[in-house]
Amino acid sequence: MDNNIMSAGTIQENTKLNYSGVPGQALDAIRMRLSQLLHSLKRIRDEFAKPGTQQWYTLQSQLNVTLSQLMSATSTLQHFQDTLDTTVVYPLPKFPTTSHESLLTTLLRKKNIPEVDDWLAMAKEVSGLNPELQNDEEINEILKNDKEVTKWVLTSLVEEFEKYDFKRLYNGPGVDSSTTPKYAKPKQPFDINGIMDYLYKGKLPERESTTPETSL
Amino acid sequence: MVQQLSLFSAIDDPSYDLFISTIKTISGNPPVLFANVNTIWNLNPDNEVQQINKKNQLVEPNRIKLSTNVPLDILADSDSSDSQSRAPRQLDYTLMKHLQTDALPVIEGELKSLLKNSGINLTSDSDMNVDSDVKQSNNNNQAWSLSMSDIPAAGTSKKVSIQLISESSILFTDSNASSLTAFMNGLGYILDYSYITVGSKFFFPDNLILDAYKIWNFDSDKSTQLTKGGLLLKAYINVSKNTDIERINQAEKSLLLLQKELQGFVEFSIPDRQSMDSRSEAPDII
Repeated sequence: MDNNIMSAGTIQENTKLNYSGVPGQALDAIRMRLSQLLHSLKRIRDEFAKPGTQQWYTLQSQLNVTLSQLMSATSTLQHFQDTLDTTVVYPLPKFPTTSHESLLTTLLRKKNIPEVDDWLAMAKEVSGLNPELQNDEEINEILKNDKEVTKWVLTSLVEEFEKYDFKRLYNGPGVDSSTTPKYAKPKQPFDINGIMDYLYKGKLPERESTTPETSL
Repeated sequence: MVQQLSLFSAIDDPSYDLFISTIKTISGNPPVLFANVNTIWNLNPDNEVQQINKKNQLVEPNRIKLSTNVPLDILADSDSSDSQSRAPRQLDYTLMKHLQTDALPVIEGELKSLLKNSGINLTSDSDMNVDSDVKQSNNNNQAWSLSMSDIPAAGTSKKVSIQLISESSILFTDSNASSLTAFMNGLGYILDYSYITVGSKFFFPDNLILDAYKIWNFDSDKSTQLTKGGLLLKAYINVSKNTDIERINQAEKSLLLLQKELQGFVEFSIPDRQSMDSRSEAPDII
């Protein structure tokens, strides 16, 4: 993608092009994230396309992977937001306009494609915000509140989750340490077969007595 | 006639607390304190019983066990030195922690009168004359259970011990003078030895019962604890029909599940089947 985006330098074809203005690092990072995301989305789509139902845990793990990739792509985009906002894209004279016309039009498009417009409209509707009735300050306030609630939910989720973590020993209030004895593997205090000999035959274990009680 | 599937193990006294809390958690039920007195009866050697087909093992003389419950209010604390007033601190599973000595866990006088009421007199020797001085009190009829057990099933691939047990209940032996000794003598049996078991019982789903108990041998003058230093554990399921293969398989599965669950803490195993053989050794008569 970034190979096709040329910027800065001279327009003259025969002069040496100056790429110093190209935000190569930013574009490369984003390209990596996006291709990862694309790959896992494709995998999920293929899974669904297969006949029969999939195992829930494979789907869930793939969804988790996709979500974390989406997160990293979003954060990368946010990180380079300023650079990308100030970057102007235009084709070089040697760009093969006829063979790659569709690519060029997509890349140079200023307006959002209809699908994206739909997403934006939906997001606005879901958020319950109305720019015509509320001024910027109010909207910002609402967004800030929303972020705080999200943060609170995330932290309390982690806290609650820790309460149900049964892998560790819980020594909180309510557990009297005196009633939970220290673990020690029990020793065999006597020979079970010896006890059985007594229970079924009346043969006392040897350490107690040498003469069995049987009066026969 | 029941088919009893069982597994045995033992724990030492210091592990009792942890054991109780573990089993309480697994079974979801609290422990139940129990106390039994058991008397084992063997063939009277004075009777000249012909050993018909003894060689072919068609007729095998077997010991008989008679047991009944000991009322919990006559249980005593064997740790306290005062033999007369040894009332236990608490009548629940914690009692087991105070029963670590040879002393009988019951008030002896009470036990003797309990046995006497049923016509068992320990003070004289085993071939005693029952008609003599045993005072009968018929208003205190204790129900006894009579049981005979076969040697556990053979086979090295067995995962649990499987034993056939025949049981019956004795409420009265005679309407006027109920006497177990007279009854058993009539069958040709005499008292061999007696023991007391006291312990905690847990009930699991699938009719699985887990007993943790101590055993005291007693005769007229002395008593010994056979399980000194620990408790015997017995996990068992009784299947009433020995042809009910499905139920037996299910019971075996339940026992093995418990064995697996407690692995690393309590190791359940099958005792030597020879040890669980209650057939009386051929008394060399004539």
